[in-house]
Amino acid sequence: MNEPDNPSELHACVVVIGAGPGGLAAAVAASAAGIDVLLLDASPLAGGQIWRARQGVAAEPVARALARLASTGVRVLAGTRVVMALPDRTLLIDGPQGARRLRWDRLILATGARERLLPFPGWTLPGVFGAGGLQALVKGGWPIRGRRVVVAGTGPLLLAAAATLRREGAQVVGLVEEARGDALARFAGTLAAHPRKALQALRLGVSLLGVPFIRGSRVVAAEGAGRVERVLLQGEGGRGRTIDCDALAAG
Amino acid sequence: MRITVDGRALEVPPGTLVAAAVEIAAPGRGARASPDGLRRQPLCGMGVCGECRVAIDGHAHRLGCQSLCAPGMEIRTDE
Repeated sequence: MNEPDNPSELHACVVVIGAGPGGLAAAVAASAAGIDVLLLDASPLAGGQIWRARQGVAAEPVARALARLASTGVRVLAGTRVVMALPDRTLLIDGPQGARRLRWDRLILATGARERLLPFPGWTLPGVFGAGGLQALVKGGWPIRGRRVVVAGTGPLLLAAAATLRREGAQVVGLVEEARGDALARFAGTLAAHPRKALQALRLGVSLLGVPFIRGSRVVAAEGAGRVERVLLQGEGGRGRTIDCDALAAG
Repeated sequence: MRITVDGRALEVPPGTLVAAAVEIAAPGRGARASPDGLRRQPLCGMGVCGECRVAIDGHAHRLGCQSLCAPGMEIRTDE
């Protein structure tokens, strides 16, 4: 990303916080209307979580959006966090060029979401990650090849995380979905109305063939001496189960 | 590109996160310990939890999951 000069105070008509799909779209739209835009993101590379760069290579839609922003002179501040909101439409930001003030006329928050996982005993052991978190780290070169990983939580993003980990050589020894089989069947039924989503789901399903899929269960503890070595699950009716692993990705 | 982690030279490809380089240098060791001495590793991977904090080129408390390796970079854990 390009860096502007280093005055201690910056100003833009429109400041966009977050360079994921939403922030990039907002910045492209505003700059196309001839407005002076500044886009910032805490990550060193644009894309957010969904369009996260893999080993530094931008996803195609990100490269396209950044090219458009460059052509309209949008300033992009990478690796820059908002520390706090000051009075008078001013933000305190901190990045590679140190702390600066940033004044705005209009502010767009495109900060996306972050994972929330309910703590369980052992959640601070090395080798326990958020599911999206491990996916993000692996795209940044975190070594996962040959490691045994349990992916646990709920929702379709789990499948995407498991598919990424598997593609990078992880051995996914358990895909643990908290929802019960009947609820999952209802969800799958709704996909019929969205053919593109159904196709996406089908592709994910194919890429996960052979992965043990455990429904109606949740993580109750991670255990190990100094790092995670096994995950304890509890299923319907309190049935317990243990899976040996090198990493737990909990979403 | 060549970097060092705690003084040890390491070769990593472009696009490698500092947090990943720390793991490659010493698998499972992590970048820091909790106040009661337990080793910690990144949890969130997206700049929220702070468990990946390292010193980069002498600057303390940089988030390893939000920083890319650069040629000649010196990374120090437990600082």
